[in-house]
Formats: sequence, structure tokens, C-alpha cells
Amino acid sequence: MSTAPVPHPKEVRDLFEGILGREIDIAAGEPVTPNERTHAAVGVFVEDNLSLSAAIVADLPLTAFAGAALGLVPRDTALKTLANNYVDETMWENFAEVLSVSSTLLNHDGAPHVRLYSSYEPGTLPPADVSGFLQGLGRRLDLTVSIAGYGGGCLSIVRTL
Amino acid sequence: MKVLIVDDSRVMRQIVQRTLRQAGYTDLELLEASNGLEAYQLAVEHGPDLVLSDWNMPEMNGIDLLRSLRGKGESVPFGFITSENTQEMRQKAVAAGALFLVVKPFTAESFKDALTPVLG
Repeated sequence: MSTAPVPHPKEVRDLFEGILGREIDIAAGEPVTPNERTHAAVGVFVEDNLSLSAAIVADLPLTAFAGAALGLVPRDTALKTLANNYVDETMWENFAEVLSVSSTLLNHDGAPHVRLYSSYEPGTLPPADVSGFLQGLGRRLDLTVSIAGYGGGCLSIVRTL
Repeated sequence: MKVLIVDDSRVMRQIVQRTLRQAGYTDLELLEASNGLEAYQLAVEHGPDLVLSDWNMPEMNGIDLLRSLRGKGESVPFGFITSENTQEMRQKAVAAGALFLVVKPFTAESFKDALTPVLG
């Protein structure tokens, strides 16, 4: 298994600023754990031998706001979907690309190669082993991510030990 | 000039197009493919002046696309636009015949730096 580092918050901010083209504020946050009541987007990252390397979880607001910002969808549209506790297909498709690009946070020279293996849209739950992994309190980074002109939400990045 | 954009994400293909415009390339004829297999067929059929390809895609990934094109004798200029950011992957890309690798997220400036030698 990889012992590659958990990303630094600045790397996370730079990635979101780069992909969304908007000012991003980062602060310490609470762990995001998807369950029946808490809908969240999950990206599962593996090494080339398919062993689990990391997972990235975004709560519903961050998924909606980042997905909307990436596709230049108006903030009001994101707010409407959030009021109904879901994200629409475009926002999810866009956020899935954010998850894909996030593999840059997980790859480092000299460390095993890591890639996005699967993603789970808000309202669906990842397999039990991934859900258990997400509840680990070890090598993880929990942040709030605020997108200028849209809004913010929570992001968790969890790496294997 | 004809440019083939290859990425399995529709929004990323749109962002690449937008960034090309921001980098000053406003009069390109753009072709799109959502995986390497589709791109291979389009490249052989249309003979683009440049291929801009993602690395990780379903059906056929970017490095296999590049190797397939070179194996067929197609010498079309080829660059990666990818979240792969390590030296190992850069070396693999160059060894297969890629001219450059632009890491996502990218800027109009990083596009200019990579594309100027090819598109002017």
C-alpha cells in the first residue's frame, strides 16, 4: 500500500482555483461521511494494481457549487437543486471531472501511480469497504472549500495508511 | 489548422476549447472524441494538425492512442492534457512520441507555451 502524503490545503486550494477559474477560500472542516441522510460525492482512487489508495468526498453543497462553477451554470440553479437535496446531471458530470483532476493531488514522483477508479454521485453509497475506510480518523484532510460567487461546502481526502 | 480534442469528459473538452480561444487560437477547426478508439478513427480519417489528448479514458487510453497512431505510421503532432503530473509519466509520454504534457488544471499561458511551437 502507498504511504504517499495527504495533500496540503494549499494544493487543494490551487487545484480548485485552477480548474474553476475562481477565487477559493480554504479552512479546516469536519469529516464528510456519506450515509442515507448525508448525501455526498465520492471518488475512489487506486494504484495500478487496483489496491485502494485514497478517497475524496464532497458534501452536496460543494458538489453542486463546484459542478455549477465549472460549467458556468448560474448559482441560483445550484441553490434550487440544493433546496431539493440533489444535484442535477450536469453538475454531477462536472464534479466527476473535478474528482478526476484531483488525482494530481495524490500523485508524486517516486510514489506508486494513482488514478480515479470509480465515482459515486450524491444519493448513492460506495461499497461497504470504502464507506468504512471513509470513517477512518487517520491520514485524512478535512476542509471547507468556498468558491467565490457560488458558495462553499466540505471536502474530505482520506489516504490509506 | 485542424485540432482533435480527446477527453472522456464533455465539460473538459469545452474547457479545452475555451482555453484555446483564450490562448489566442480563435480560427481552429476543432474535432472531438470521447475516448482513444474514437480518436484513432477520427485522426486517420481527418488527418488533424494536432491531437490534444487526455491520458486516462475508457475504451482506449491516451498513451495507447499515441502508440497506435505511431504504429500505423501516423506522425501527427500529439500532446497530452492530463492530470498525470509525475516525471515518470512525462518520460513515458515523450518516449511514445508526445511533444508535450500539460497538467490539469491548466491556464491559457500553459497552453500558449506548449502549443506555440506547433501551431505558431
